[in-house]
Amino acid sequence: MTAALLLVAFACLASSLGRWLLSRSWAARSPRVAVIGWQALSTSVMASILLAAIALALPFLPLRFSLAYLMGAHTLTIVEHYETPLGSWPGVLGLAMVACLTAMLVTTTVRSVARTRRVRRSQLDALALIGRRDPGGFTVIEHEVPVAYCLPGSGEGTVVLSSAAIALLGDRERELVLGHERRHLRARHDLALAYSGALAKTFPWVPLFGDAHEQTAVLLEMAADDAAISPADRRSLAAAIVALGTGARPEAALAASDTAALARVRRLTSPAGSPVRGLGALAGTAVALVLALPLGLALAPAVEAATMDCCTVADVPAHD
Amino acid sequence: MRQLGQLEAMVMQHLWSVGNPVSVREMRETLTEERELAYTTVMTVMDNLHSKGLVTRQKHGKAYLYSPVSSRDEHTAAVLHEVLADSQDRTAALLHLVGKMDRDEAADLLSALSERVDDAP
Repeated sequence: MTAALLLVAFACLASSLGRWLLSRSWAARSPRVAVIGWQALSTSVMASILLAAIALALPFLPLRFSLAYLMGAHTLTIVEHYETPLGSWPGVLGLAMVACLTAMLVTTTVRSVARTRRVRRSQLDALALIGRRDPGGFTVIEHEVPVAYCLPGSGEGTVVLSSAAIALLGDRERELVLGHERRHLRARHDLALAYSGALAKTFPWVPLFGDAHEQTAVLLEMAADDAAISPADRRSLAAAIVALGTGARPEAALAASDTAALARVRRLTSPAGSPVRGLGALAGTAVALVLALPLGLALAPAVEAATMDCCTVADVPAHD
Repeated sequence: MRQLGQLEAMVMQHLWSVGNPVSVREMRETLTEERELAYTTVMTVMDNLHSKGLVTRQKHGKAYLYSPVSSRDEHTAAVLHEVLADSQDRTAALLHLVGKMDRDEAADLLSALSERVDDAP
């Protein structure tokens, strides 16, 4: 019982504290670290909830024997430490919840993987017909709407520019845009986005996952911006983003304004912030801690049981 | 397989550029200007395009006449529509550099941008 309560409390605390911490201004200065932070936080909260449910059910799970063996404690002592005053009810509910959450996550993941493949496939098929391979290593489509995007994949991936985008951008700007897209492809940013997207889509009622997905998308764009530019290029890339973002796009009339792009432009036009010192080590420790804590909390009662058992054994000879 | 894909693209380019229905024989004559192709190869390619729903065909005498289902521009527009729809769903099928920007806000940023460019030595 204690373990489950501790884990739920940890999940709530970590998610509100983590969301606050990861939304601070340092995130835009070190977008890559912030993305890892969101991933670790999401994983940790998800693991806490699953472990809480499993802990409730532990008194009647076969797992209790292995745990007792592992801890060197009596199975009965272990069971005592995980029992709830309400009997096995919460455990049964917990197991049902684990099954349900897992099934939901698997279903959405399989669905989005299928959709992703379908979209990429149809894009590649269409590009084979209407696209023209540029010697610069990208694909050009003839269209009056300026667009730039990339199709990630197991191979190299494909960067696509429309003819209007090429006309709109200067040579240097085009190189920066290509650099940005290639960074997405090489670093497999799509996988990070697929992970946060699967959680956000499966559990839309968890604010943390929604925030994580939204922030990951923006931070990955910033990370690709950073990888594409040298300090002298910041303004050129900002100009390219504004040019493409405001280009004539009739079919986008209903699309919501890309506020994230404005944030990126503002970031690129203001002087480069110095990287936060010692952030790497700090973030590494925080990530390790936030990932290890759920398991630690889940095992805490078992550890307590083990120490109790070892004391009882030690007490026995004293009575003789 | 890769070669078939290239041939499909060449066939579609030709269908889009001529603007009237084309038979397999005529198509082969056009394509053969670039490289020698068997009649059956061209027929297979055009049959594939038909089963993919990219071209329609009408019987004319003994042969079929093929024409594209949608114009090249319509086809391109459909591709871009998908890009836009996906970047709003954010399914990670593709990564779009920038969505639609608000013109007024962008104008402010742009003026800030040009000021700094002017300031630069």
